Amino acid sequence: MLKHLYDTDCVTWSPQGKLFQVEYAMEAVKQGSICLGLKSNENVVLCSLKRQPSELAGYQEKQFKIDDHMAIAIAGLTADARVLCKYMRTECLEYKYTYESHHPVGRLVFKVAEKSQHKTQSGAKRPYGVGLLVAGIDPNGVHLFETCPSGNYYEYKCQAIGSRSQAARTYFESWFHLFEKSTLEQLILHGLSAIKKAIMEDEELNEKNVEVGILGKNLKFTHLNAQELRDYITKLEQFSPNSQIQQE
Amino acid sequence: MSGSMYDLSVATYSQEGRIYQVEYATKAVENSETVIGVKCKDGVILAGEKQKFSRLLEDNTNKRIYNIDTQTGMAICGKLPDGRNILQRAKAESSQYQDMYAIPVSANVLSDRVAQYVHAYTMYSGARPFGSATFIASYNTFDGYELFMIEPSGNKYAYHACTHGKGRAVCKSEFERRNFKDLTCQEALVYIAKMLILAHEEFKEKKYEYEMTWITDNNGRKHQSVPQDLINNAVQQAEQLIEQDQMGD
Repeated sequence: MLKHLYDTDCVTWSPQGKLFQVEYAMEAVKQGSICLGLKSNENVVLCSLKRQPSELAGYQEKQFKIDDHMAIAIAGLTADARVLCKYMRTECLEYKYTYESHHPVGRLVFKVAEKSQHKTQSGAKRPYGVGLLVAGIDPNGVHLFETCPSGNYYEYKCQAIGSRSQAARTYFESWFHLFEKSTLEQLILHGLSAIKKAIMEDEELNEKNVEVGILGKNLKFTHLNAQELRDYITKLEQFSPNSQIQQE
Repeated sequence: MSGSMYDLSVATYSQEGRIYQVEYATKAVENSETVIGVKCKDGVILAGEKQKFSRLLEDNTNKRIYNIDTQTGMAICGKLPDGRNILQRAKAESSQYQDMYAIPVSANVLSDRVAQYVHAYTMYSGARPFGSATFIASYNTFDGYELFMIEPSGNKYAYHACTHGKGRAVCKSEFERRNFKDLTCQEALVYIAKMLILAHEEFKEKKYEYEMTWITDNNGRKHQSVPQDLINNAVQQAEQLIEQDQMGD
């Protein structure tokens, strides 16, 4: 099939009913380094692997606080992520000003999805090249959403996106039944175990290349600091999901 | 099937007078999950199937049937992001109508406006047709229960029963066999579940969730989700019916 005829802009449908430009934008997400999220009844944890453009450079941050009760982890084009992050923060502030309460998570994700969809329906625009994992807590409960460049969004129990994320998702499929009742510490260790599955053989987790953000019903969004990260990475050696089953 | 060089822009007619880009957009809907709308004796039902493509997905979320106002609902078949764009427009139209005329908009007027919006995107080369078909179900005191389907081309018709998506052939033949006008909404749930299950016959091994909403005499004529236990019962009974049919063959 003459794919090249149908894949140069967002306003051309292929004969099979596909939008190739949108599918290519989803590939940009797969190129970003891995980030994952998992939730229990009380907490949500976001873990990401940070990349360093060169030896002398710092590591690219992957997690951004949107409000006390909400945060995102990004995979893909960081510049596009910044646009969405700014939008989400502004919406949360306006909502707080008008209604004196936190923006419900699902509704903000819906708005982001709507914004993303508009970029897929014009010849003069391109889709956002970034996938977000949105972690948030509101009166409806504890949430983890994934948004896509296509404008689709999904609510998950746990999810991993970015490069080599299939390994992390496989870990999740085996153990996600334990997450609901896990403590915060167990959740963090599960997240780090999943990330460990996705790193290359010669890479190691350390406090510089891993970012962990935590959110809880009574816990505003915070990042773990370097010392806490080092402690958790050490605890990772002794951690196994099987030990959690034996405790219950 | 390629339209040679006449299918690259929605602003181009082919030599036979077809607009291929609109047909390709409709293909996107035809390849997606089945959605059904049915008018029964005492109400209207909208139903759709959702494949749980990952075990990590949260249950009963990722909806495809939404409220436009308390007595009007919209179901989306095809690409959900495009459908949600249409939904937002429908909500705005409905709200604006109510502001101006102080009565809820009738489904006839609303679907006309939505159809015009969808059609507008098929006329300019700088935009593309929507890749979703939308179903509008509503009740109002003047017109009673109404059901409309709007296709990516901007065509809209009022229906007794309508369907789109992968399983539309299966559903259409069931519509002809069974007279839904004689069934109450509660009785019809089983047959709707049966159609949705048969619609994905080839993908039996995958997990599916069923989303159903209704507007009936019994629930205050409001557009609401069918209670989950009724859906579960309907699905169970439908699976038994299908087994019986197969054993009978």
